[in-house]
Amino acid sequence: MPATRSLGMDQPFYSWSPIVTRPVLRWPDNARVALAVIVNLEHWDWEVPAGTPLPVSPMGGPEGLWTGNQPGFPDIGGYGNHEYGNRVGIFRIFAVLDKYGITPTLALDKAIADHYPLLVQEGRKRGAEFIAHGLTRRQIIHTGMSLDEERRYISASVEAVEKATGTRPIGWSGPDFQETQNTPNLLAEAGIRYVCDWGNDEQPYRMTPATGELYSLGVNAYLDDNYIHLHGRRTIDEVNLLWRDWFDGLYADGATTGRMMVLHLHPWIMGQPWRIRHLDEVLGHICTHAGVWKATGAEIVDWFKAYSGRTEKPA
Amino acid sequence: MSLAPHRFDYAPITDRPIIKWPNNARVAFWVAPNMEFFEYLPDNRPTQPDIPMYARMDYGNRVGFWRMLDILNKHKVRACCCLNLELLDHFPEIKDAMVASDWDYMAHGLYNSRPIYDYTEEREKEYWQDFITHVQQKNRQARERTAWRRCRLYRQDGRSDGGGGLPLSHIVDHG
Repeated sequence: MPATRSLGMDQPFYSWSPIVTRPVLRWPDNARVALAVIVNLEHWDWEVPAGTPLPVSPMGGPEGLWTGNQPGFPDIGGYGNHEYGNRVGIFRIFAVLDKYGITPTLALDKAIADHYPLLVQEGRKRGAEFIAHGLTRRQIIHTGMSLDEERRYISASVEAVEKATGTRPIGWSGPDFQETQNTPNLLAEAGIRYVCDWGNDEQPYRMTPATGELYSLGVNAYLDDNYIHLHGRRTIDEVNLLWRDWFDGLYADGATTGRMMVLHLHPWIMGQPWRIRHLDEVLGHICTHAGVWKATGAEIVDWFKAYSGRTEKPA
Repeated sequence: MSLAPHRFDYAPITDRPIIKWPNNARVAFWVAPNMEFFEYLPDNRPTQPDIPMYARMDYGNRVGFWRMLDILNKHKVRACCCLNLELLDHFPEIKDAMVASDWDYMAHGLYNSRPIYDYTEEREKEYWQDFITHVQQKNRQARERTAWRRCRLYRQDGRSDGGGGLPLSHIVDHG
């Protein structure tokens, strides 16, 4: 339904809440910024089922195939660069995160959960949190799915992560941030407690699904390494500066009320040899500051939930 | 002789009377924040939400606007915003903050996801009248706590016809 002249949002999934009118949010040890690093471990299918729409770019149009091949021909470019991330890039990213004592939040799609036990093992060694990330990079949630098809899609993804890691995931990051009008309800129904698709805030917030409990831990799609390089066409030097400025702005405002920085990475992009030094520099810049809480998605949401309801007024 | 659609004459800047700004200023400086609401399910995509786009626009209203407002006020810059009209009702805190900072308003449609290309002339006139009346009414309500001053309205919607004699003083689509 198109929106009508009325108070608040035009969908039922959360309430309107300008950040300046909220009670103060304090992170553990009065940190100014909660830092979460979400790394996507994802597979670019050789083939997708008939009728699967193209992945969608954050610009709104189809992201398409890497090689520009006609449908029906394998997309070697996309297949290869995603596989590069899982074969090579991820280990560079792990090394940088280890250096700064950052525990990653790993978004596993079903293909990786099923077929790449080594990556799961590497994550477990680091105490990583595993969240669900759909079936594959190219099999996105789309409006051609019936309610039951989408329900099955979500449970297949969640169960694959549970089977691979031994723990049922409580976080969800949809491939390409795609959702139907049913997705938040179906996620809550499947036991998901936080979703990363809604990049509209610098704090978590409680969502209002039809049943169950759901929080938003928004990834700003326009600041992740995928968008910023491949769509935003920024050079790596620009990204280095922009991400540090992003943190600096949050850090300044975090003196008043806590902010979060959710850095969203793809090993096939940020794990490239010419980019990894810049990730190192950005995280080095962030971690020299006192008052940065390095956390996983679940830790941030749990803290936020426990803290909500306190009513310290903004200064 | 102007070219179609004959809405302005060619006027090279070397051949015009000199403009003097107030106090002989060299540059007139205008900040035009876009105050926008992008619908979850717009008319042209009634079943398919675009979460990244929706969330990006919503970020502006939940977080970004407030940061920008502080900077504009710090530098004593009064803005004339490009206003999606319905934002005034959806987000009254933003309306109150704009009024408190004495902003002006330029018409920028009802919702950012709702173009008016297919409007008939009659519907477009109603649209303009609604826009003007509603902004003035909301402003008046909000200003009752302070002093009523003025509300100027400009338009920016990609169209140049219509307006139907309504008091719209500027069109800024051709810049």
